Amino acid sequence: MKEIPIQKNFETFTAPIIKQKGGTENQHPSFAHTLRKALSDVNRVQMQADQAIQELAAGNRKDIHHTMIALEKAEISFQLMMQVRNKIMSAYEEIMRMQV
Amino acid sequence: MDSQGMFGGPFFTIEKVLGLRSFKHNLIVSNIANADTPNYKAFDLLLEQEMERVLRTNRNSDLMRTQPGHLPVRERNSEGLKPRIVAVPQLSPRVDGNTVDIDKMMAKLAENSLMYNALAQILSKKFAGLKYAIQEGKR
Amino acid sequence: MNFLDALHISSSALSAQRIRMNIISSNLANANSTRTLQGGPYKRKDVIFAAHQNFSTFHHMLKSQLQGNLSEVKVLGIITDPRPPQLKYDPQHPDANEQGYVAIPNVNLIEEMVNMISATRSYEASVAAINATKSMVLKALEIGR
Repeated sequence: MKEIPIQKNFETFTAPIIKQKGGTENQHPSFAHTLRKALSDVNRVQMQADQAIQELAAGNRKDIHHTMIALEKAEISFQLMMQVRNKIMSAYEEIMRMQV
Repeated sequence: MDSQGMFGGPFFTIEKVLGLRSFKHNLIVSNIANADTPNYKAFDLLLEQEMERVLRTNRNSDLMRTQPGHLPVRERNSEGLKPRIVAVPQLSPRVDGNTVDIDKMMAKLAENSLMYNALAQILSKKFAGLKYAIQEGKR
Repeated sequence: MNFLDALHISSSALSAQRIRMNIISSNLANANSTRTLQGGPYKRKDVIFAAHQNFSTFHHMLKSQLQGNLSEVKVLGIITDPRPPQLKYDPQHPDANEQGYVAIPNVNLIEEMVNMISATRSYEASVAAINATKSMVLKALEIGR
């Protein structure tokens, strides 16, 4: 009797992995997909910041706050990405250090 | 000073615009200094056209020297800019022939120096971002 | 180099306005002086400003097409006002002429006060220009700090 709940819990843990093997990415996106999407988001924010600088320098847009906010968003998202990248690298190195 | 690669895009634009703004600053200061000189005509710099040209071409083009003995004649100044300098149209004539409106000049001075400071700060922020990327890449 | 030009132009304006202030002070102080060393009443003085283009180096002259619109202020000279002095009827005055009129200097107090305010305003404007130049240069020096 007690084995059933354990088995049910086990299934909930393994269900995402099994589904992913043959399922679509929309339901449970892979880590690579999430990472790629995050990188393109950071890139998009950087391009927006460059665009804002261009507009301010050309005089098309006179409000400085828009440019400063875009710049700050770009900087913070870049720094966050770098920290995530550091964590990923250290996690990878730790895994590689594991004795088989 | 290339327009592509690591220092392309905003670095190029900001450098050009800073050059334009500094020359406009000189013109405004000259106008303010001569606010009481009789028959002095005030000059101004038209920024919009020159900035559009800079953003479109993204390149310098100086006149080429065909002989090594020629002096480098520059139609533009050292930054490759050719700004349009116009005489300021006068709204209300003065008895001494001076066309400087001191209040307008002070406002222009403030606006120009604020934009210059803002662009310089943005440039230093971008350089700091590059430095950060290089620093964190070491880890 | 650009900013050295701006500072030079502003400093020339400060000097010119200071000279003008000194002349105005002299006029105001001697508004009632009926006797001078040259004889006759005090004559009102005025300054002449001129826009002067200062090409100090050969290098500057090559770029003069752009630099040619910048000019500093030069005081050409100090002239005396050619307007005749006012005559006031006061036979008891030691400087009265045969008809009993005293020649009072042709200094109009209102005119001098207006000139003084204008000179002060121009001086302050050039000081503001110098401050703006300084802040821009300091900000540019901060790039990369």
